[in-house]
Amino acid sequence: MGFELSSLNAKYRNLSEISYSQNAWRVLRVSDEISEAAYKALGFCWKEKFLGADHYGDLRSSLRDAYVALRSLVGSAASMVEHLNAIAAELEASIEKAENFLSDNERNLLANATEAFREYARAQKFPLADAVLNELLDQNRTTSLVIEDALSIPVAESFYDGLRCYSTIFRLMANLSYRDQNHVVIVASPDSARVNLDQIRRLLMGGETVKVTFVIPSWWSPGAAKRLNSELLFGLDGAGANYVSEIGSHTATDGIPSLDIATDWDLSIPPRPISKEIEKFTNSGPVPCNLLVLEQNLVMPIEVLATRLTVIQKIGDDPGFGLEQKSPMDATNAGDVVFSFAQVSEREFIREQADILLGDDLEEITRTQLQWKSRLQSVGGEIGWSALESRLLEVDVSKAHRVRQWGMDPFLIRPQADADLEKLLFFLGFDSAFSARVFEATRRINHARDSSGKSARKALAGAMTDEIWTNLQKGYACEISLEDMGEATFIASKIKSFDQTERLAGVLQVRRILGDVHS
Amino acid sequence: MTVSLRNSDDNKWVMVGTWFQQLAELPSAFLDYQESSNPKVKRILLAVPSRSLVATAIAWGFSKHAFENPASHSASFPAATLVDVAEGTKVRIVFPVHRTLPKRQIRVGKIVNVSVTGRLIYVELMTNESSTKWALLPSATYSLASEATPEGDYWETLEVGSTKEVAKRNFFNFQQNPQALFLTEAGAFFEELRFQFREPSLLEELSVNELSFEQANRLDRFTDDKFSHFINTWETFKDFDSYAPGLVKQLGVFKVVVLDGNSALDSISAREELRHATILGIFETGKKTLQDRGAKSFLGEAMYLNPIEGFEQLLGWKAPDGIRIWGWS
Repeated sequence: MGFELSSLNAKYRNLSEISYSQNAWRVLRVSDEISEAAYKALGFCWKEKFLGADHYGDLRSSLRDAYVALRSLVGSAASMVEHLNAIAAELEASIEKAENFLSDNERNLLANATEAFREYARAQKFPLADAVLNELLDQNRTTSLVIEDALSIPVAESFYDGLRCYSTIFRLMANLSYRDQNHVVIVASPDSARVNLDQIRRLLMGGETVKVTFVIPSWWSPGAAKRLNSELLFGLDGAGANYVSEIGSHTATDGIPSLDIATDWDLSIPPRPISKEIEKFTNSGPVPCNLLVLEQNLVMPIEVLATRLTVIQKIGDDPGFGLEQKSPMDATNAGDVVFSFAQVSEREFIREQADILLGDDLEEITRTQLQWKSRLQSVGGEIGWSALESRLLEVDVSKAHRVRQWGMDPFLIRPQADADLEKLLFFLGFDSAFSARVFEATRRINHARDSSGKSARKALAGAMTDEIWTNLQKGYACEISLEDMGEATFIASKIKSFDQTERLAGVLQVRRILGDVHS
Repeated sequence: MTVSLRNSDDNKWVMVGTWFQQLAELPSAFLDYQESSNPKVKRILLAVPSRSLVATAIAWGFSKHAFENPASHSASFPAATLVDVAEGTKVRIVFPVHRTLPKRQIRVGKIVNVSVTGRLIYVELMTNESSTKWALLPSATYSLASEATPEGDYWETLEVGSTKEVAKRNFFNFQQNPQALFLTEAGAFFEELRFQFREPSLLEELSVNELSFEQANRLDRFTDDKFSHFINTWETFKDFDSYAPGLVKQLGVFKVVVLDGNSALDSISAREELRHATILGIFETGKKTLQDRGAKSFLGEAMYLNPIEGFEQLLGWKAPDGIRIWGWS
């Protein structure tokens, strides 16, 4: 059987247990004045915005580590103290490194933040960790823990031997047995950038768990349960839907930086807005285009007559991604994700990669191409391109009107039809041996470009992660670096709409993700 | 009554939980509600943990409902009267039972030409765009078939005998009462149809030991019609473009079109061809693939309709734990 019938029955039994439970799905908020004070102090640094500059990269990273630790580091007290002290030391080192760039005010803010964080590290009790442990010691069920930071798994494992601990819901799901009465404890807010709503739906409603508890500090993500309730079933049960209950003490949020600022701390959000780094659409050039309007004020010009567009798609249940061709309208309607190289056009990149693939043969191949193209150029220059076109038509070269491009465009490999190439070479006075060399050379170039295009796309699909995907779906444009492809960087973004007003675009701007000229 | 299923590869019968039975009761509840409600239900969304056995449970519910609530039989006429039937009319001809074979041939097609010579009635019948001439004995019969009835040539095993059980078995195998069209993915659905099936009341009524799930559900494939009954029909949603033109003409006879799973919802919920059909979407909460797109595609169509408050209660149906239902009219 593709599935086991008994497992299906077990899933429905689990779902039945959830139906009869009062609090199967909960957001448990834990109050802790010391962690809240540290969070506020870190938040004030972030609020000042000076951290956005390039030279604060390390400092930004250390502050983020401290923040993530406050909201998600759990484990035995001894292990936590050790880890928190290491983070504090790293933070201090980063501040010292940035010392020359900091104003007095910035220095004070950072000193306060460090001290508040040290205070947390010195605490004897960690209420968040205690609450998590309390949930994990559920005698009636098999418990598992998910924490958002993979590096703190060893700290969490210090709770007790044999703890099942995972860094993502996806990994957890791969290890759950439907036969168990699973209680999953997640140290993350259900609406944090690292948690995907589809995965939550699967975790809560897929029948493999009987209880799910999100344990978070009281200061993190106010209203998370309310948001989850409104989104879990697409608002179908109205505003009063209460699938997930929120319990625990709430503290006043006065003085706590706003939610927008809090989410800025998230690892997965680029520290600098991506639109600042990329070329803007110039709205001029020889190519008539329509505009795909993308998230974060980005656009992608595509040819007016374009019928196909490559989009990134998620495949199956596995964390796999693939590329698919769609019409621009279908891709827009589906809100698909498009991509392009960040700095150069895809064609240019593929040409460079193809040259690498040709290796030692490149020189000989280039020489052969140069030989017939330069003779074509000189004949064109001598008798004029239109006269040459007429002469070629007389010898049955079917696409003779393209002769100028064949001669002048170094990137146009050859006439598409074999017969046209053969007749052109014969017309130019080359013998059959040279003609054979040209056929072989152009075949090799075409093959190399095909391979390089396929490899780049395969690498892109391979470099995609669930985390990037989640951010893309949330409307963030993302940069994806391909380490084995000459460190090429793709930009990917979700399509918002398709503006069919005709515009003009430069050749090198077509099918590239660009900043909107108005942004 | 409890349903048990068994994979033909092993010998262990597994009793499916009450959830299956509850799902199988949905078709009756829906049909009753649909008959009495005004305006009619146009969209139903069923959120399930997994689509495994959900569509087939619903198909079983429709099959059972059709069996227990037989529509009035189409009148049957002697073959000799075919000369009075207009050219182009779709008929269902039942040939006399062969002496040596316990089977009867049934052929559904459109009349091209009829002539009578002596005792024999010569009928030229257009079946799936292929024309064949048949010589019928006077004992052959025919009935008028609706435009939506699949065309084909069927050799059905005919139970011989005059008992009530035999009559029921023959009725079960030949019944014409279209219920639901399932647009699904071939793999898992097809696998489910191969299960062996037991439900005591049906088996007792038909006086058989077991049936395949396909037989019990009376599911035939839209593009490859094998059985002479016409109850439930299925087809893969991926090939929708290729069969949509033909399907559009027949959609009206189905009481509901079931879009089975997130991929089906994503692919064809918004298709113009389905806009006026009654659609039941099966949305999988336990599968993370295409949740958002599937639901949004379905709800994008439903938003043009009015949500039915308290739909589950109005249906008089209890959704299994973990399954939710919403309706729009």
